[in-house]
Amino acid sequence: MHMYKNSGRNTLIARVLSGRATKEEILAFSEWIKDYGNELYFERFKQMWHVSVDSEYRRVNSSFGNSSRLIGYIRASKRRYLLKRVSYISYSAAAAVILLFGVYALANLGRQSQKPDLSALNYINDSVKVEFDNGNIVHKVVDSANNITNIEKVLEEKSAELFMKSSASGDKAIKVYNSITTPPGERVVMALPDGSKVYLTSNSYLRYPTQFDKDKREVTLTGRAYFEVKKSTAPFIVNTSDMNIEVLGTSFDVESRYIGSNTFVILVEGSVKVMADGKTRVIYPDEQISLHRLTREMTVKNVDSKLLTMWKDGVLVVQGQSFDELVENISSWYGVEIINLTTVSNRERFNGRFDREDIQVAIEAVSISAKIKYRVHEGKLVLEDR
Amino acid sequence: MDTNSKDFLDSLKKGSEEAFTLLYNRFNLSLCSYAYRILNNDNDAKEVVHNTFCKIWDNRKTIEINESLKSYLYKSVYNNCISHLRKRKQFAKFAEQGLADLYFDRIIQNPHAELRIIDSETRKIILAAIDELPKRCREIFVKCKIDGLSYPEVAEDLQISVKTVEAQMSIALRRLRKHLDWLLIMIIG
Repeated sequence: MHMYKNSGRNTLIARVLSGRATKEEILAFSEWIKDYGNELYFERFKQMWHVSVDSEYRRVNSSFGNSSRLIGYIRASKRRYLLKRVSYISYSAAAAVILLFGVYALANLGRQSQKPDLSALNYINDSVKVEFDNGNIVHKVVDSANNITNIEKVLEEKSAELFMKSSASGDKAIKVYNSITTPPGERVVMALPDGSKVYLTSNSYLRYPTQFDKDKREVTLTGRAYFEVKKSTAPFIVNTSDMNIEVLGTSFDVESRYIGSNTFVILVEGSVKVMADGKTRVIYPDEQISLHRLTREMTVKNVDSKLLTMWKDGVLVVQGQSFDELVENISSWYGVEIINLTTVSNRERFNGRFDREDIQVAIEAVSISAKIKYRVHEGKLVLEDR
Repeated sequence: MDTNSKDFLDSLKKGSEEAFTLLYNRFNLSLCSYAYRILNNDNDAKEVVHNTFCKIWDNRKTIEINESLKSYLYKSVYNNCISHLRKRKQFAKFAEQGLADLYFDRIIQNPHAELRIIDSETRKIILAAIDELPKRCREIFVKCKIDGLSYPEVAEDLQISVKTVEAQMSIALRRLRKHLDWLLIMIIG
């Protein structure tokens, strides 16, 4: 039927225009458009597409945007206080504050000599904990705060040992679980029994069976993890306290904690199914789905998934966070206790990234941007108003 | 105030906050929408537009505008989007297959085409027709035709049956066809 035939090509064009097309679809499209008639058809469709998206965009964003941010920029530049713009914040009501990072910021302000001494800072001493179901606990102490620790070797040795024991006693049928707990300041990367890779950030907990079931691969997570799931017909399921995530083979980032208001999933490639409160949503690459823990509201937005998942490569990315969230993040990332005595408004939003920088550079950047000062007291980092 | 007048340009150059606010209020939403359709990412779109305004402010004294301020704005946003695009995954998918030219020439809306369509009759007609659709119907139409989702995907997304999606789509198409006959008879299928 004529209608049906058109529908396929329209979907293809819409996917190309909205940036969702896969490589194969792009190739198919490039062949299709070589035909002159198709090219004309495309131009018409494109017109229609642009008008419709434009109208939807205006509908959604009609309340967005007053000129206060631009005026803020203009006034700041008049005071010869030129901030480097990092990224835009979509919370229109919130005043945006931008973090200045790196040597650039320091050199510009030329205050190196007055930096407080951080050598007396205590780093939280917990180590990564690998726990087996028989009560066996392995501690692995790592000293470099910025690197991800690969714990595959520890796991392999221990599982082999455990396997020997269990097969010796003949109770193969009993499912054995491992669990990994990361303290503040530590991140680990490891392989699951099916070859899938997991990055676990600080303050997180992951539990998984030493051998997956035939029909499903199930793990439990509290905290934040980035999964690179090996393709298989058995679905891979991540259970968290608020939602379950089901995939076949793809890369995604999940955060679910008992503190914090949102549980979220960021998808890098493929597609994932998110189930919560009896509802199911499918998300696509570069989308983030968030579930508000109190209102149970689920929202999907477009994000730069590559940027937001850079923590797995040792880069801390901050986007649209309140000061409290930022402080919590830095405390957890560097493994130090922070006492916040400032009165920085929680309406302010912070953006920026820490490229494997040490804590001094990070905290210096924060103090410049948020206009605060810091010192060390009894091994803890104290933040105060300037 | 006419943003295309010479007086207006002069007050911009002199650094009038009022003039910049007016310029922003008049064009920000349209420019964000335009950038969004190039980048397919709302945050990036808003960032690019904000940076464009900031750059104009920074260079206000030396800026040379030989065309209308409006087309200058659209061209600047376009150029800034393009440099942003080169870093993105979607562009890489085209570039890897030697299709970068196709992407720039055909897929991306250039500022001339955008300016042409903004004031066109076509736009008014399409908008009026879409606006007249019932809310649910419009939502489904947008997901199918704009986001390029398949019927089953839309059904899953909205937690409704595929049959409902089909039914709503046929209502949407019937209604649109009435208004947009000449433009959509082939497109809408």
